Amino acid sequence: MAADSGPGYSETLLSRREVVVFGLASLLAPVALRSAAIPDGASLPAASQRAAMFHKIVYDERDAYSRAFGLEALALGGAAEPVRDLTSLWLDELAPMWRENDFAVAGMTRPDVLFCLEQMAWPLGRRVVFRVDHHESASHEFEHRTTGPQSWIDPGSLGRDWPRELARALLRGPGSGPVRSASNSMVTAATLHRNTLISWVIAGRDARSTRGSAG
Amino acid sequence: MRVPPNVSVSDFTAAIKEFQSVVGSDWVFTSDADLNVYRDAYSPYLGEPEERIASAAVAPNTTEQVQSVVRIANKYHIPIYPISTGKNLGYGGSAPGYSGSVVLDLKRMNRILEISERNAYVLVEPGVSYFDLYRHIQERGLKLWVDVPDPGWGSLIGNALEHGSGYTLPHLRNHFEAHCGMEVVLANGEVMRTGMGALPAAQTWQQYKSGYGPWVDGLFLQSNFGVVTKMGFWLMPEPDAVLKGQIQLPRYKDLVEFVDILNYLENSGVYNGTPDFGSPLLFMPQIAQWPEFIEGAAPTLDPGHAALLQKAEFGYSPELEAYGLKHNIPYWRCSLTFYGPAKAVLAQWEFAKEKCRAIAGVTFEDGEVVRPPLTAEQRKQIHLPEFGIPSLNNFVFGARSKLNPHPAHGHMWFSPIIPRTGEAIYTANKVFMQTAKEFDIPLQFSFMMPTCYWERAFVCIFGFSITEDAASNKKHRELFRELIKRCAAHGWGEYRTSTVFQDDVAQEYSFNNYVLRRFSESIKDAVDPNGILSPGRYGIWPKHLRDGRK
Repeated sequence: MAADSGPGYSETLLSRREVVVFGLASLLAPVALRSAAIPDGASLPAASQRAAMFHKIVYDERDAYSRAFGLEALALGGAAEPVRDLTSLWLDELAPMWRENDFAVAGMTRPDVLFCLEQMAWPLGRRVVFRVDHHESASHEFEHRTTGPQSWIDPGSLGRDWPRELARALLRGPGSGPVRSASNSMVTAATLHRNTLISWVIAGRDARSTRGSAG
Repeated sequence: MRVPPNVSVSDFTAAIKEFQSVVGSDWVFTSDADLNVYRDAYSPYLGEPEERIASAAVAPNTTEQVQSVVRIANKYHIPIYPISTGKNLGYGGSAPGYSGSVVLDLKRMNRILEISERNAYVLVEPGVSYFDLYRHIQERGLKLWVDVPDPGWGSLIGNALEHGSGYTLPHLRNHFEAHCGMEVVLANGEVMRTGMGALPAAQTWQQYKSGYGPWVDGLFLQSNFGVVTKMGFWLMPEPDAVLKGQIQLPRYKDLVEFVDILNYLENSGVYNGTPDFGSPLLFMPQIAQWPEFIEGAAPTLDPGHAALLQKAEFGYSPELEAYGLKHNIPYWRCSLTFYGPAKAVLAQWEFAKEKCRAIAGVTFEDGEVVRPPLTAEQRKQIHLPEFGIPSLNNFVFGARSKLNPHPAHGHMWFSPIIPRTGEAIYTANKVFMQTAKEFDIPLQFSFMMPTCYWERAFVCIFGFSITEDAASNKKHRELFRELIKRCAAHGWGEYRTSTVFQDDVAQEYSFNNYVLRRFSESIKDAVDPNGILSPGRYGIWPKHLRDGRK
């Protein structure tokens, strides 16, 4: 995000501009915060099981919100790593494994990272099956729009600590089985926003999950 | 269900069923969700009625299936738009140029059919990406390099047929020139092999390009006369060494003499990599510097320098030049890359320096002689494509960064070919900047440095933003179209363009009452009388749609 800061997600060293934005964000945070859909703490065993479903959970360490998501996922037992080198992530890890196995990858990243991964995952028969767009408004509030199994998370339930809540929701899951078919998505100009993060899951898509893997 | 233009619902339904019987129902896509992936994510008309949208997509797995699909399309007069991996971003992506066409998606045809280390060639299908081939070579420990474009996620065949380019040896970085032999499915469903491939027992299909009689391969470059299902490419034996040296020039006018020296050195084969221009004084990094420039520590500009830069016109003012001379900031910087034996590349670099010393005040930075294979540490410090390694690093251009806090959401590439002279660089910049100023659209650079992907000519490549604001996109399209015209008036034409501008560019190639286009149309009418293959691609329309041409 432009400010790379927000309630509870400040950098160690903030620029003056970031301090200003941080202050504004704190002041303008929604007053009527809903409690998170996933309660704190109590779900660690379930989270561990869910964590095993994701081969990898990626985040952007340059972004405070994304970093909070990633560190929470890591704390819950997920294989969370920052995306430092997208080429290497794809070439050395995801592409070879996706050719052989069906597994899911989750992340909270800026749109450009998802754009690349979605484009490259498609010919291997993998799709974006779950997606939440987090749009930051001029007043630094976040709007969350979901595409995918609604049972995974109710965007209306996301509160002030939404990156961590989302990590918990993803890792704890709805308890209703594996990723299901979802409407597809494409990162396009029309869906992007000045300050946007996207949480996503890329996986095989229902019965077609292995198509295209061999060519 | 969307239906192609001039095709009845019943015919389209029947065709879809027949497509399914050929490729399997899993590989025919008609839902909006599936077809979204075939939209052009960087469409200049994104979300507007003029955006090009597919009616369906079909993904065959073999040449025989391609033949059957083409025959079905002919039977029902359904326009089809072949794509390889569909990564032609900035030039149309995987969306059809003619809205309502069925995308013929060849990604599943991703086999590397033959690779020869002894003769340094490979034969591939359209779905093979640069990543795929690189991995294939690495896994087998072959001492071969593949020339890759930036980014390297696309198809070898798709990139070559769009006249894509890379960074290594001149005859390999011109990706179409690097090909040797094709297999093409014609519009009537027949399979043709070009060059020596026309011999049923060919032994040299990937070794001798021209075969016997007319060399027809060029007809399938940026055209719509067939569906290419196999192509051979020449590869580069891993070089003994790579050396990259930097040349720095102090004055604005130095480009004229320097480009002449550059041409002499290249045309004589003294250096064999891609020259890479930048301007420290104009705050323009070289291509290889961009990732670090954007993602590294934020580059800073002295306020005095910044103020002078702001006032400079078309990249020049006497005060700016004086500032550079006083502070030892070169006006221009250009790297030369040498591939070959270590002793030879050092000698070649010395010779290049000797020639350049004719320019007063020239300075040099000697690079390290790098001996492949690279260490992990070396890989972090180099521009990967120059070492035949595909990468996604150039997506940093458009990503959010300290230099680009509010990135656009896509871009349309403008790519005119200009003469390889210093004077042309200056004139082109004046034309670009003056035109943009008239449209009140600031260009995203202080000076457009040319790139040297091909021998003998420069290409200037710059992107126009696509945003979520339709009015802004419209304004950018208008500027784009005006630039096409003004460049043509100067004798410069685009080598490649987005599908939505292909008629605009074709309109400028008008010598002798468009005889070149009419010749292409004659071929089109002869080989694809129903006009099913990529109608309108690069301005070539089938007869029944020619009147509607823009």
